[in-house]
Amino acid sequence: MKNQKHDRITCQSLIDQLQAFWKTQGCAILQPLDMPVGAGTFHPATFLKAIGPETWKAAYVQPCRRPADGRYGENPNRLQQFYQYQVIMKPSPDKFQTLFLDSLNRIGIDQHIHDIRFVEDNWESPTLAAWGLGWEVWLNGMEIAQFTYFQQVGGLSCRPITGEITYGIERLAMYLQNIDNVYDLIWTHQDHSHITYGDIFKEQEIEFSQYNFEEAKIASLFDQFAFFEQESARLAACALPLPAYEYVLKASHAFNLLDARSAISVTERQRYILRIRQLAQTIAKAYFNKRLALGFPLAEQSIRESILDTIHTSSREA
Amino acid sequence: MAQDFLLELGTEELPDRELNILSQALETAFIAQLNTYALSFSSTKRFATPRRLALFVSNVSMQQPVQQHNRKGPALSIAFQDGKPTTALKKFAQACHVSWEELTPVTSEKGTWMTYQATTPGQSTYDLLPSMIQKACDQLPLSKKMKWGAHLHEFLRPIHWIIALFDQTIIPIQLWNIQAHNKTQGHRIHCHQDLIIDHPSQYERLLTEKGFVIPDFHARKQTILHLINTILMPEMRPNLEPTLLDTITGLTEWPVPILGQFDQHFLSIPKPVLIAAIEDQQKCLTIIDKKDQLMPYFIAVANLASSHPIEVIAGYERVIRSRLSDAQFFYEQDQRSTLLDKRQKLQDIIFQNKLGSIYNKTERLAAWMTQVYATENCPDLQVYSLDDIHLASYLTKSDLTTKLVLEFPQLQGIAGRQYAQLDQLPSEVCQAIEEHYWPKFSGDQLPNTSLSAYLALADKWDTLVGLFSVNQIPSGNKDPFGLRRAALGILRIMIHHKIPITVLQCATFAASNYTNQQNITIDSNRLDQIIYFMMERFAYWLQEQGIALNTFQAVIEIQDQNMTPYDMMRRIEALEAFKKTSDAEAMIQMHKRIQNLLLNTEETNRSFNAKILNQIEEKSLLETMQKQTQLLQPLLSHQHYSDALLALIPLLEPTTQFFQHVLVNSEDETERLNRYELLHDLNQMFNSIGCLSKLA
Repeated sequence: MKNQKHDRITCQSLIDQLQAFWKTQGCAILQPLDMPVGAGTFHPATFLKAIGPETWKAAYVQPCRRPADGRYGENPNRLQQFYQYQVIMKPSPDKFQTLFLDSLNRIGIDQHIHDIRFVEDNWESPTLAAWGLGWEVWLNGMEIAQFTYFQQVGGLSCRPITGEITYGIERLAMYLQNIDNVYDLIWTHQDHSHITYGDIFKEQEIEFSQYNFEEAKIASLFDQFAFFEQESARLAACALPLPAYEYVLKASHAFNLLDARSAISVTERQRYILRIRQLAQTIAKAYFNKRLALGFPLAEQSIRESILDTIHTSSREA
Repeated sequence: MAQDFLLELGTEELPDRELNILSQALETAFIAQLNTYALSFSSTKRFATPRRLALFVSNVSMQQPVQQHNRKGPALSIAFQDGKPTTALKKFAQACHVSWEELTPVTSEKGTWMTYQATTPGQSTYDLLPSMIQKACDQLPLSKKMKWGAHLHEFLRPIHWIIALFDQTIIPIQLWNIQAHNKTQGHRIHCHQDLIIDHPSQYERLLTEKGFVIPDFHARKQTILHLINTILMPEMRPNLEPTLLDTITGLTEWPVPILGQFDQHFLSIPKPVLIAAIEDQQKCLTIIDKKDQLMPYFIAVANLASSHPIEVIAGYERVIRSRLSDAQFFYEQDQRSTLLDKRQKLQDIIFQNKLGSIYNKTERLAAWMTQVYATENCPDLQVYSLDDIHLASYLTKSDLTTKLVLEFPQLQGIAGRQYAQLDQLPSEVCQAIEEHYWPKFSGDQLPNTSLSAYLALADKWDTLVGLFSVNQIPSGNKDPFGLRRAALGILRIMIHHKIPITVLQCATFAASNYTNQQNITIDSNRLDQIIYFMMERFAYWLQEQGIALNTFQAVIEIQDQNMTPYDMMRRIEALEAFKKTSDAEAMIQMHKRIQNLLLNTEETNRSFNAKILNQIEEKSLLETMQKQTQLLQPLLSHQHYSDALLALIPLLEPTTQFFQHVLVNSEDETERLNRYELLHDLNQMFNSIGCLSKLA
């Protein structure tokens, strides 16, 4: 059994293969954002870069924090921190789906054996004022990725459209290694032995579950949220959308911790989401205007001209 | 001469529940185009898979029939000035694509007009097709549109290819920026090259034989059913839920059912939970044995003839195992506290912004039930103890806080009942917790017991009155809180369970609870608006069942505040049957005549004196009226409305005699008023079931 597992792709090489694949598709391979976020979509390389007409292709791993999903290391499937592999392409290429299927081949999912399905799933992020249409991708009935064509981000309609693929690294690896418990995943081989996911992350899951559910200071988190919110609004008003956005991410994480502490009632929950959404919309506009002031340098010429044209016409009319 | 036509839109995976809607819309829209241009055809066939919508039309005529033109232009008087054609005439000629000399004056009774009269050959279908296709595609109903890439076009999902083929000729058309051709794609995995369609009639066969795609939705569904039967063991029967089967058909192009297993111990999870996990979440079929018991097996329908099916099965089994482990975990976790404890958490769940929490709602439900209980004319409810009634009211919504319902929202009510049973609550309380949500959709089953029925009414009335009070009223196709459905549910329950209270009473109770608890005043105008809404839904529902609107209006017309929906329904049924009898027409006309006479009368003194009657016909009428009233009263009070209508028929003859021989508008005022009074009473009788004159 152990030998057999040796042949299977490790978490580490899985990431390597995805990086190599998307690099050849012309994606800039970026590094994770150095802040706690709930999903790869929150990385500025997705949220901000999806705004406006500029061409953008990137791929990166993003550790994701979902404080309420912690299970003290006891649940074989749920984690309060896990990895997503995120691919972003604007405009979404005509062959986007085919590329995705090719990437599955690359990591060893033979589509003559496995049943791959695109099942309707419309994505919406109320905090980011963003939505898109697409699918959950099923591998023999298990969701392994999300595939989305963004239609709106930060309250702004997208043009051109950004295509997003989000792979669940642990899910895929568990499948490829034929393992039922996430902590048994082989991260990498080392000196005739191997390091498991549990070796690396088990303690972290236990300690952070305790922190998220029991120790996080509620009163301070509320104060922090208020401060982050204020600071974000202030920075956005100073035409500093990038730092302003970082404060949105901090506010969002504080909110997630409060949520894990059950400190926010359902009614209040909605209000907090709206407060973050408000900021995201303000920042999206500010970011768009900054890029506009620069003349959208990364945009393809014909798209740039057509967008600038539209903007000038509408400002003249106004 | 006629030829076959094919249109195919090749797409990325379309949402499965849109497939049939779109495919039918495409067919309808295209047939409409054929009709517009008077192009004949033999038959149509629709195709729909996740990656394509197609339409085949056989024997489309190649040419429109000869076109007769007869188009009226300007009047002769303004067509020429000084013998020369005016601008008006020239413009008209231009619009008809002819010179003005080709127009002819045509004279009718009303005058003379310059007219374009001509017979032209019909256009060729080939020339017409591009705009026909364009128009048909423009009319497709797109529920949630999207853009993709840098394109400005919209569709449900990106479009990749288009086939537009008339016989062997490709129609030169661009849709969504894609040039039509005659190449289709087969199955993503099984078919590696484009398939060239030389002729529309090859389409289905070529896709099936070379493309590994069964393009016909219905044929694909039949294939699934057939293949399922080949993999089942003798004692197994698939649980064929029709919408699930449609979903599966909508998710596959080349369906291959496979049989999987799960551990026997999961069968201890309640059946609805198993079904929610396997069917709703995983879109697999569950399997039952000959005694209708679930078996530890399932069927997954792959979209692939896998080279190693064992791996596919293992994959599905693993997902199902993990889903069921989750469900079992949630089910066990939820049992750590009672439903009564869970109710406290409802304080955190908002019902509606201005209407308080769900906890508040459960308190109002209990109050409403108490009010109804106290009216003392609801014996069906009074068989329960007030304690049980309150318990059921308080616990209706507790399951909204459970992990199980959080994971499987469709189990609300069902989960509540399970947990209530585990809390060892009285069985009718458990049942009411589940059934108070019924009917969940139009045509769904109704609550079984009286307790369930009253609790369902309490909940629906509370929602209806509450949302009206904060102006969340359905309009157009917007009904986010499902108030129309709630109203219909209320009516169906009140009729089926013969609920002996009126809609006004129900609404008034609900309103009073909002006033007491949330300080919301609901005035009589608002209540009228709610009653009107209910009656509107009532009329709509009856019409759906083929009952004429005027029958409903006949009952509404008599404005009896004490009528319950059940009573109204009995009257409506009786009147519908009455309409078909031979005396109906005469009775309706007679009632009209009575009403017309009474229409212009001055207010009478409301005192009828039998002694003043002097003519035999009026005496005889009175006699019949008295005799029939004797008969009528018990029939009405027992709601035997068909018999009551029969009891009115003997009035026909004496009334006819009365009108023939008695002068109502007598010179003598006392006599006149007295006769009006007699007619007034007669009118009352004609109105006693419903206003008969309205049935005309």
